[in-house]
Order: sequence, then structure tokens, then C-alpha cells
Amino acid sequence: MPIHVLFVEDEDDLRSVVVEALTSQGFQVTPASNGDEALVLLRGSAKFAVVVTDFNMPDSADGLEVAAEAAVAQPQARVMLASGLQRSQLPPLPENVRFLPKPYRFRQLVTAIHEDLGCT
Amino acid sequence: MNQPAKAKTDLRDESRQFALLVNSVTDYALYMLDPSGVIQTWNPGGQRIKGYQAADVVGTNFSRFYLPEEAQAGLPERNLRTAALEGRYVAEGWRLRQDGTRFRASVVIDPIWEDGELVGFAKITRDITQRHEAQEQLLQAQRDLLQAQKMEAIGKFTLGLAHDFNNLLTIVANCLDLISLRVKNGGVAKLIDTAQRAAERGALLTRQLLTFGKGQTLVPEAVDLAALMAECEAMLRRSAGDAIALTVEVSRGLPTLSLDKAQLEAAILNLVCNSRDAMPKGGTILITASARQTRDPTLPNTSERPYICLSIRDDGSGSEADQQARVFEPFFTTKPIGRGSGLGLSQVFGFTAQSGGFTELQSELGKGTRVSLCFPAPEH
Repeated sequence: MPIHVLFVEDEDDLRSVVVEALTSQGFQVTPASNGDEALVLLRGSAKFAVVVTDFNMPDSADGLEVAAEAAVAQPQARVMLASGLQRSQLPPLPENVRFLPKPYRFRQLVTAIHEDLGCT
Repeated sequence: MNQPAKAKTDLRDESRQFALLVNSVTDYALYMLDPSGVIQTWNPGGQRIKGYQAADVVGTNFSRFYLPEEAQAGLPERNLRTAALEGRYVAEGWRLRQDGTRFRASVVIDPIWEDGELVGFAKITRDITQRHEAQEQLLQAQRDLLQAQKMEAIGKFTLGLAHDFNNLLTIVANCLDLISLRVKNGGVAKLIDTAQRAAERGALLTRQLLTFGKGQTLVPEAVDLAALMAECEAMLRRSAGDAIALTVEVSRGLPTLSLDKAQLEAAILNLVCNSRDAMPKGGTILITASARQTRDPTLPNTSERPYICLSIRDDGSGSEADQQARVFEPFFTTKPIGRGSGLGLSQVFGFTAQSGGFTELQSELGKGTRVSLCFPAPEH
């Protein structure tokens, strides 16, 4: 049973590259091109083990809203918030959210996912 | 009715009027000079402003009130000449009091002519130090405000820039990773490595801009130096390049520190990049860590306490003593234009200071540089 990842990123090229990389590493990946799309998917029937979301997505729900919705709708999911800003420049992050500084390499992302799921 | 007592206060005598007037003025130094600048008269204003009694100065040249360097450069004579030629000399400048202190003076020199002949000068000096200081303070306040506005504008700009730029760098880095998974070829691997290095340097630049654009607050977390170095050794090695032998000797077992990890990594990478640039023909970089009993040299009256110091040492070109005092200033760089942003070492310095520690720089021309980041060891 592959690990199901919801990957939320509004930068098209970045989304397609990371989705491809994660898929090639054996993950099942559902992409979302902004926060609003992610909220709909989180409220749907698909269950995610991991949610990786960008923080800053103009004209849509931001990463923290996605994280908040995940905590309610999919409490089993681990949430990773990626941002090019530094952690100190973001609002305080909830307990269930892990910070992922951009730029990241997908290997770091894979390691972080495995760490979060407790199977390093 | 011609009483002597009355005659004493009689103001109708012109020369007495003049003497009383001059001697009643205490806010202005009013005095006369002969054509060569020798002081002929003195008044209470002169005494109040400059401190001298009439007996101290009458008969001496007025150039004694000038700053020595200006007197030597011939400014007093030049000012008299200007007054004689142009009919008046008006200026502001620094002058000396008897006790050697300076005051800001508003100076007027008028030539005195009698039958077409220059017989001397009337000299009026006012102490405008307070006004001058108030103006300077106002100017400084305006400059500070401008600087604050500039930093705010830079902050907004860099925030947007960092977001977009980091997205682009993430795409580049991950595409390169995907390429390297698909193409197994030594030549290509080398090119990919070079491109990754460039992407990492780009990431460091945006991080530094962010640090300066926005008043940085640190987010400390538990940091084990040995584990951290193991994590970023490969990245540092890539940044140092092939011509440089980078050795990390950080033993396990040092106390865990509470530091902002991203900033610490940036500081180490900054220092490695500086070392690399100081060794264009190659060399060695040694990274070590140790516990040390020392005191923060930037804080007076502190006693020694335990610190954990991370040192980055190279055998590069080193730097001159006069540069060392300035290397931690923002935007100061000894590198040619295009080679350095001038933000690296000030990030290092700012980060250690903000973390409660200090930065130590030892450098000698031709003998390499060692920079130590010293952080207070946790109290037990």
C-alpha cells in the first residue's frame, strides 16, 4: 500500500517536478494547484497520510489554512509546510505542522516524510 | 545744575555710548582687529563665549581662536582678505575656547576704512553650538528615518523576491536531481554537481537578503553540532569546490545548543564560501568545535564562562588589520564587485550576537583566517 501524499503547490513547474519525483519514489501523489483545491480534497473521501503544502498561495487559502483543515478533516495526516521565507518570518506553526524550508530537494522531502511517519 | 553724579550716567557722549554698548553685550563677542589681525579691544561677550579675559588676548593675533589645522592652512588671513576685498566676511565654523573645547561659531568680519585706508576690522562672533547641535540632531533623525524607510522597502521587496526565487531554485535543484537519476554518466554528473552548487549559492543569497530585509527574530531549536555538521558536510564540500580539501572534525558529545538552525547553517556556509574565495588556487578548510572557558570581549565586566566554539579555519590569503575592524559591517566587502554581496560576515556576526554569543576573527596577511562562532554553553 503506497503512502498517499497530498501535494499542494501553486507554482506549476515545481508541482509537476516534485509530483514526478515523489511518484518515482513509490508514493501515491495527489496534486493540488492551490489551497482552495486542497481544502476540497481534504474534505473528500480520499485519505492522506501526508499533506505537503506551500505556505504562500495568493488568491487562495494559504498553507496554514490547509494545515488547519487537515487537522480537522484528516487528523491522521502529517502536515509539512514549505516556504521560501524563514520560519521566524511565518506566524507560529501549530504543533502538528513541520516546517520545510525552500528550496528543498525531493530527497529531503522524502526523508522528512519518512521521519514524520516514523519509518526512517 | 551740573552734578558730577549725573554726568557719569550721561549717555550723550558718543564714545561713552559706544563703550557702554559694547561692554553690555554678553551674547556676542565684539572686538576690533588691526589690519594684520591683532586684537585691539575685547568685550564681556568675548569673555563669556571664549573664556579669555581682555588682558589674555589684547595684543595677540585672533588666529589663536581657530582650530590649529585651519590656522596653519592660513584661514584667518584669508578671511580678513575676503572681508577687505568683498566688504564683508560671513561664515560658520568651529573655533576654540580658552579651555581647548570647540564651539560652533557664527562669524562676521567687517573691514573698517578711514579716508580710503584699511585701519582694521570689526569682528562679531556668536556661539551657535546649541542651534548647530539641534540642527544636527534633526538631520540625524531625518537620516535615520530615511534609513528605516529604505530598510522597510528592501524588506517588502526581498520578501516577495525570496518567495519567487526560492520556488525557482526548488524547481532547478529537483530537475537536476531527476536528471541525475536518469543519466548515469560521469561527465554529466560533474555538470549537475556544478549546477547544484550554483543553486545552493543562490539559496544562500536569498536567505541573507531576508535576514537584512526584515528584522530577524531567531527560532532556536536544539542543535547537536556533530549531527548538524554530518547533515551539511556534503553541501559544504560542494560549495568549497574540488580545489579545496574540507575537513570536519566535530566530535560527538558536546552539549546540545539552542540555536536557529537555518541561520547557523547559513553562517557556516558563508564562512566556507569566504574561505573558498580567499583561496583561488586551492587550499584547506578545517572545521572544528570545542568547549572553551572564556569571556565575551564585546561585553565589559563579564567573567569567564563556558562557551562552545565552532571554528572555520583556512590557509588562504588572510586580511589586513584595518580591514578586520570593518569586516562585520553590512555590505563591507574586500572582494571585487560581482564576487561578494558584503552580507556574509555581517550575517555571521549578527547571528552569533543575537544568539547571546560572539564572533572571533583571527587573520594575518598570507597566513589564513580563523573565524570562531562562540555560543554560551547551556547552564546546568
